[in-house]
Amino acid sequence: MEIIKNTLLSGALMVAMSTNTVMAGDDWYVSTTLSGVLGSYSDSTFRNDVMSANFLLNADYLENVSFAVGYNGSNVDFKDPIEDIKQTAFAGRFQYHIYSDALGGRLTTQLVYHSVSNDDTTKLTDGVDVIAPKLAFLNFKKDLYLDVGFSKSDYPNNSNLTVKQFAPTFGFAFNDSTDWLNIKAYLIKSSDKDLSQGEDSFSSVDVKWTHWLGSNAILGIDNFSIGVLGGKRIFAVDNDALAVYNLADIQKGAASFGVTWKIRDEYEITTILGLSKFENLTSNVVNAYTQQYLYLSLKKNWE
Amino acid sequence: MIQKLVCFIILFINLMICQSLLAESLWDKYNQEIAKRKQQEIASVIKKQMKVVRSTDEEYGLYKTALSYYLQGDYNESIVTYKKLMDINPLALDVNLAITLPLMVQKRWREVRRYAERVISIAPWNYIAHIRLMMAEEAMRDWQALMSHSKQVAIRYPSQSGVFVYMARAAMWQGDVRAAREAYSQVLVRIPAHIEANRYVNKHAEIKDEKNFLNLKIN
Repeated sequence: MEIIKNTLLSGALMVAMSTNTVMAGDDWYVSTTLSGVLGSYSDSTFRNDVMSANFLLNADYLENVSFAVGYNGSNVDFKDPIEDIKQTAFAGRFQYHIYSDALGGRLTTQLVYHSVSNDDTTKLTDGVDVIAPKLAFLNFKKDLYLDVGFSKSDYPNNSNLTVKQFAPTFGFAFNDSTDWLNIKAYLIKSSDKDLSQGEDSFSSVDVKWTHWLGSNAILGIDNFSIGVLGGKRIFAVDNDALAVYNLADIQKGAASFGVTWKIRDEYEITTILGLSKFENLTSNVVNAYTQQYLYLSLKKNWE
Repeated sequence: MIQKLVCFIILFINLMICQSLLAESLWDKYNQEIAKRKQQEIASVIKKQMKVVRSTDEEYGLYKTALSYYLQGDYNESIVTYKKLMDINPLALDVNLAITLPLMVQKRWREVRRYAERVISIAPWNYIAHIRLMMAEEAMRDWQALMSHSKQVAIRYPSQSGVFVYMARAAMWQGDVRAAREAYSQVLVRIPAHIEANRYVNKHAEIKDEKNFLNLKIN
């Protein structure tokens, strides 16, 4: 684990040092994304709201290698102020692309590492480490995508709870590649059901439809997306967003609507409105509640 | 003694002629097979000719090998072989242009851009390099770059309809209907039956022509 951590951090340092070179217009393609989430909870016995800020630096060397580092700072405001949680999370992602003429597409090997720490008074969600390898395939025509992702999350302060996640994805383009449908399954296994709200196995499916508008689109929108999540999941890991959901209760469904604008091929602004259904089974009375959130992000391509 | 020497010289000359004839006949065969597109046979010819070519002209042999790999659909090997050629002669424009073909099939547009720009840095107004660079800019949806680039190329190659097609697409995707219509009109002057240009111009027929709206000028 320590070796992987050091490798990813070295990669991150390399990316940071190479930023000036990239701006000179070499073979490196760098983007930075600043984003934030504002969320509130309805009908929750314990929670009021949540705020989160993220920074992501991504650097690609042509179409061969990609490095990314992410920082996340989150505050969860509880009804009892003593329970408030401040959390910081770092993530590093390394990708290597292999081109296969036999398969007619690009294979991507990916390794992600997450390190999460917080001031949770119970200590249960503090000191989380996640390691997540993935193998992905995108055909040359870029209308078919498959991946098989795995992640192992360690919760050393929660009686050494281990959560394993298997997350295969299938995506395809249609309507002359102006639409994309992405289907991702989350199959999660907890090492101890008593530590994961009474269940040791969770499964859910996340379906997301993205539509790209052509030229002269209304309000200059580049694309919009609609996402729906069905099933149950807890302690999930999202390696596309570089997020670990270590603070969440059992998620029992979600829906979101997002819009992205592109400004002069240089900036991308994305806004997502969403809601998620949760269930907390830790107390004597089952508490089902809803989270509403607004996500905003600004991405800059440094070319 | 003199007789033996003469025999040796004749033998040596014969050997050299045979070697050259062998190479020539293999290249003839290669060209014939290329023309027939018999990929399996091309591979076997290439294998045979490499032995000969190594003793005659390695650079040319590698070039033909890379091209054959490309024609057979072995794009990775084609790219690797073109890169070997670049080590031998980094200034070879035809190699820097040729490597863009397998890269385009694999949709590696950043690399296409890299090699097209390399050609342009040596031969600033090479038409093929500019066309491949514009293809990469279009694929990467870099509309601003494509617009200013196509304007500059259009000044140097005003008879080429393809340049105006890229200019029109860049204008269209930036929401500039007038510029797109004018660029497509320029395409129709050169190719009256151009389907894409006709479709766009007819769809936006209400917009009046404005001369020099594209403002083509030498930078």
